[in-house]
Amino acid sequence: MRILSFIAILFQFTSYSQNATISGTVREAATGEEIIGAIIRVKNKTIGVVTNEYGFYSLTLPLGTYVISVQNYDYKSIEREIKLESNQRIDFQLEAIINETSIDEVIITGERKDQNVKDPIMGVERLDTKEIAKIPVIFGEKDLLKTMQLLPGVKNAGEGSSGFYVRGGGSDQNLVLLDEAPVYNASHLLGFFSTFNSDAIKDAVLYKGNQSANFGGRLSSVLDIKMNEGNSKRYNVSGGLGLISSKLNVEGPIVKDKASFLVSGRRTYADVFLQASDRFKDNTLFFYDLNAKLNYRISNRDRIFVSGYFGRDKLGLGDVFGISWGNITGTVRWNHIVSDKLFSNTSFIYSKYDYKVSINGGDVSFDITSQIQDFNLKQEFQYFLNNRNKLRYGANVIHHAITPGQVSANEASGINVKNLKAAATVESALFVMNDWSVNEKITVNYGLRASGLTVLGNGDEFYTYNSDGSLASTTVYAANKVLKSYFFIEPRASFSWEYKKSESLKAAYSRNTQNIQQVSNSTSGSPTDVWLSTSLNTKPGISDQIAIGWFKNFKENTYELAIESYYKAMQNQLDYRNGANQQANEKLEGELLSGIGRAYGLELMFKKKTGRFTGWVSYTLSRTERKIDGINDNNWYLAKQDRTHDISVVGIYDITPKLSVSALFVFYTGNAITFPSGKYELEGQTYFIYTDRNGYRMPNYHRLDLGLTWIRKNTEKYESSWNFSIYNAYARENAYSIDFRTNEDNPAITEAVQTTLFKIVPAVTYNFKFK
Amino acid sequence: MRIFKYTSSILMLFIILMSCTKVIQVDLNSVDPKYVIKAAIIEGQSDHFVTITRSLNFDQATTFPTVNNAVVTVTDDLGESATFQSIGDGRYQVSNYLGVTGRNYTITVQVDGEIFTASCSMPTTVLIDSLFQQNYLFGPDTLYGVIPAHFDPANESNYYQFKVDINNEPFNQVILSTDQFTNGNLDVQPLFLPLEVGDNVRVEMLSITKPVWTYLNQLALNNSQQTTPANPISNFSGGCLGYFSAHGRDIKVITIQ
Repeated sequence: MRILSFIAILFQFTSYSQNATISGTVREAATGEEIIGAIIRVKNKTIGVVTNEYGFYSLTLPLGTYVISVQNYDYKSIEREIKLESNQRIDFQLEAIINETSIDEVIITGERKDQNVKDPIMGVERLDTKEIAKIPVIFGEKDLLKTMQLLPGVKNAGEGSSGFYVRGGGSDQNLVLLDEAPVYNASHLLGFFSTFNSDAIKDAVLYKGNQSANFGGRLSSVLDIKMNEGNSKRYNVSGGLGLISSKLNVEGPIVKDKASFLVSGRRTYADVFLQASDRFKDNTLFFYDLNAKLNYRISNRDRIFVSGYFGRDKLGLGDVFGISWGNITGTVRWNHIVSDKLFSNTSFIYSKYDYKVSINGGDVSFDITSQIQDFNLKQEFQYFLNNRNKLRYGANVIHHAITPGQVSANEASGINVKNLKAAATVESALFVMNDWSVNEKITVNYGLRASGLTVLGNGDEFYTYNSDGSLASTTVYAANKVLKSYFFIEPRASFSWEYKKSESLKAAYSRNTQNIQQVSNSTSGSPTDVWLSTSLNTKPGISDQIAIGWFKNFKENTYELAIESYYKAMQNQLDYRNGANQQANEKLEGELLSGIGRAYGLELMFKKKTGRFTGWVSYTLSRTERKIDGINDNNWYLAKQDRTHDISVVGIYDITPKLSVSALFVFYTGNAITFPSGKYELEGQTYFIYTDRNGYRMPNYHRLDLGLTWIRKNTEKYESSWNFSIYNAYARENAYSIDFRTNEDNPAITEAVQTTLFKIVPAVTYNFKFK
Repeated sequence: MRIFKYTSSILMLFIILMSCTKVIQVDLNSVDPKYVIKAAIIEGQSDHFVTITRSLNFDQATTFPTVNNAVVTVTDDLGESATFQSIGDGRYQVSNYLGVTGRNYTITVQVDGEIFTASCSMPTTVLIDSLFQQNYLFGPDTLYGVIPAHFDPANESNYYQFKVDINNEPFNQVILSTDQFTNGNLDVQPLFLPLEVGDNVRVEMLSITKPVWTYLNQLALNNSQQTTPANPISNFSGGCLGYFSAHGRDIKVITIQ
């Protein structure tokens, strides 16, 4: 095995003196939840390690007596003297610093205070769910994805939208993982809400393109979200009543300290208001989410997690039209501590997204369903080689099955029933990486990901196309016959040099490939946008990103400053041909064009993390372009998500431990857009002439939101709080869209009409918790 | 499938309920005027028309200049040709020239030293078997649909355009259909129109070619305001706007009850 010898060369066993290893887990005392990123340090030495995402650590030292300190942001540090004579298992429990202003969001975003400076991985944003709770949002519906859009390099997909773009990549180029399971459509109701019920979320980390080799499959970013595990000590019931939705969260032990569960649900009730109106009472409009998790410590060394997510949107007009869509994910994970240095994680992951359109119109009744379904097996090892090298390696196999559009219909409809077999592909990857602390100042993370994709036959017709998109051949291949394989080596490396205390320079390079792509030229994104796998016709997307950055913390890590710059080149980017038939078209690949893209920018983040006043200023200067033969006369053009400037300012002030106020200001350049330059007439109708693709800009966007959180009661048994917010406080009329039309009264005049979605939107939410 | 468009419109409806609009000033570039040619040869007909106008800048008053000095000729793959006569108002007419299924027609337009050429093969004409009405109830409201039932030929891909007049007023929306879901069947997909009881509806069903369908589909996409708009690709060479369509046609009329 070449890889093994490669690994062996990389790590030299420097010390043959008598060593022993302590290892174990760090947990939160009150709930029993594992703490991610807690630091275990040897007092009076510069040696330290950090717990992994399952709270596990491993520290190897020469025999002797030490004082070990365990610390974490928001927790009381503890110290313990140990006498190290042989390998030992030591578990720690940390108590949370009781912060009166935090209403239950027991979110354990473990992070050491200077992590941002030391960690070589670049373009990482950790979301503190406690902050999320206080930042004002539209309809008072606190939302992970919308808070994330306030970070540098992340742009929203329009007013009120939870869709996002990272560093010029498309919205399909973000890998959104919920407990390792990909979520294919992370939004509800036209994107106004994300599928993540923040009450059920433990930790969220966004990697903006320079993720390490254990992640793969998307070009632009990975959003790694972990669900709460459930309190293993006592029962909790908490919930919230809002304008749009209500939530309920139940968690507790099944077997104390051994097994716990969490169930969290959310449902909107806009349809209840519709019922009240005669005109709309037969209509349907709602979504729900259900998160559930079980975890069981079988032994000191073994732990099993089972988690699931079920969410669905339903929209209907009377009995006639209906559309529903949703995700289902399921994860079964087995953590096993093989030895005091080797940690294993085995996951079996299921993920499905589907939509169904139903029409019930007298003679013509039919349904169209489409889905993407993944079975995913992942094995990963973390090997704590020594205190300077932490090795991670593993393998991943995913079976994708994409059903483009099944049609079922009644006979009288004249519609042909279509039972297309799912297009099957197998994505596989092997990866190896190392976190290497070269010395006190230099840290390197480097690795390789070898990824492959195999296109399988399915007993159904496969099409190939000529360059003009016309059908070239139709062939039936037997099921599971290997038709084509792609193979890529994706190198990843990042490097940090802390040349001075609390000041570092970083650099990173990554190659990413993407085999599941979504083609959408709609402005808002639609639940019926199609996912396509790499096939005989479409090639995998490829991106190469380099980034450099300067990081500095001031005043004992109270203030953080980060300046990063990136350049990203992309290949095999897809778009529709002119006039493409996009509707449930089984020959869709013939309607596609492929080209290249580039994106570059400068990102600045200044953050105050502690004290009564916290918040940040984020600024992004960027440009994003595409070049696709057949579009814009084959010239470079701005991508629709291109914005030159993007500024967010967030401030949270705790007036008293029970009362806090917050404000949020956003300014950005309007997106690049195509407007008409001329007009002409065809058969009595006026149409427009377009010149450059995306050659115009929407008007600048700005907005101020205000929020107030008031904890009414906080006792041993019960907590309650109110949250008030005002979205767009100064009622700025931001343009959601600009349409061009003929004036209704005077057909000789054509005019531009701006649509504004939300002026002032006040909201109130009531939260409670029984402990 | 037409119905897909309605579902995405429903999604937009909920947005519109919350929104407000206003007319704004947008500073738009100007563009050199272009010739706009709409040419058609219709199966079974012997009179055919071509319309030539010019484009304007966005902010100019919408009185499109007509072009009356062009030389317009048609020829088919059997060598039968004819010359159109200018009849004023930008219109040109040819008589005694029969449109025949399966023939390939080429239209040539010469104007002010420029030449524009387009070819199109006459597809199979599909007839409306019957035109009938269907009502859909939405709470207190009734939505009226008319169904141009037609037998789709099984052995080929068929593309359709529906042109509708309501009480002799053209309903200005591009309505397209294909046999993607209905190949070889009696197609009874409804057309949803803003109708009331007593309305006189005239439905013209055109059997068109794929390039013309693609042109019109891009026009429709541009109007949907949900996609990035682009100029449709004309089948005319020479850099003009518009298209040449050889198509079959069938017309039926219904009164809403």
